[in-house]
Amino acid sequence: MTTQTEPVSLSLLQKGKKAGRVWFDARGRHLGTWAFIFNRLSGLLLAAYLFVHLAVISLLVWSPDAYNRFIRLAESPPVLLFDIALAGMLLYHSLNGLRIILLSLGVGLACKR
Amino acid sequence: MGSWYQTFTLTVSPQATVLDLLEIIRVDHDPDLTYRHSCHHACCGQCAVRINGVERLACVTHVAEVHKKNGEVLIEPLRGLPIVSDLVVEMTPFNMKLAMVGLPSLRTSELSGEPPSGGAVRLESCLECGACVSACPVAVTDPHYLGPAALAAIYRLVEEPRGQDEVAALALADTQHGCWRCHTAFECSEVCPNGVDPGAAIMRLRRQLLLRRVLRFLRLEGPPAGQTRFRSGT
Repeated sequence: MTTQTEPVSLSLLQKGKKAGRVWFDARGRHLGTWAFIFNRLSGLLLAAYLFVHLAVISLLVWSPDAYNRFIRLAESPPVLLFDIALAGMLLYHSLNGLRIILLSLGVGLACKR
Repeated sequence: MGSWYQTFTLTVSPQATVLDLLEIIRVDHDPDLTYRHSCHHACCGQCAVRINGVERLACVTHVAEVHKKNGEVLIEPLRGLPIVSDLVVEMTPFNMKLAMVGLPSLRTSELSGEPPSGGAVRLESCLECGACVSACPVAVTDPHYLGPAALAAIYRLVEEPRGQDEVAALALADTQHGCWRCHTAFECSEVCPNGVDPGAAIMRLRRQLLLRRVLRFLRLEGPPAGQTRFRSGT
């Protein structure tokens, strides 16, 4: 048996953290948790975008000029970048949903890790 | 009372386990330290804690394999269960959910003495340590969720009912707090110290339930529970 010794610093938590932070606590977690975290984030952002989209469409009720001003803004590079990011989130959320459906049908369980 | 960490600096051999550390602290530094343990060889599941953020059994986790580069080992109680004191959590909520399933399923041939009159008594292989519940991001935020261990127990019962009511067990799983609440992070399977693979069991439960729904929709007779066989991870 080796007799080599090494100092160890030991920290003990006396009480648990708030549950609300658990969803996004990825310490020591694996790929499945990252998929879960990105799914939550993309879902929340897509839901928020839905309200933005409804607000933009409702500009038409207000005045056609207001809508046209927004369309000109939407053609600017920052907004186009945002659109690409949004499309990426939508793609991720959809593909992750497809992954969950396949796993729920028993497909790919052997290679899920 | 808020949360706090206590830091102890120890010098130990590389072969020391995390449970050894806790025992050294209790004997030499802090006699008030509370933690749970029993068998010291990964059979009882009592010493499950979070070590550097990952659920493990303290008795078989060597310090050398978990400490950070600076030698730090962070030990926390399991999540998702009420904390009694220090590293001890209240297991009653966890045990009650397993009891709802009927505590399947130890093979009669594996019992050392006479089998109990009720037949099967607990889920094979599951140590009932609670690591899966602590690792699951849903179980720690939804106290009504049955959780990975109970759902794995339901799947085991459905797979091999041995006279128990598998229809009632499936009904228990087929709720918003049952197998449909799982978000497929599979952390339960990653941390299970005994390879029970509750995540796969939950997915197979879903497949069973979906198949039954489709057959009912087509007005065909569903297969009796337990006859749709899948490779079991339990």
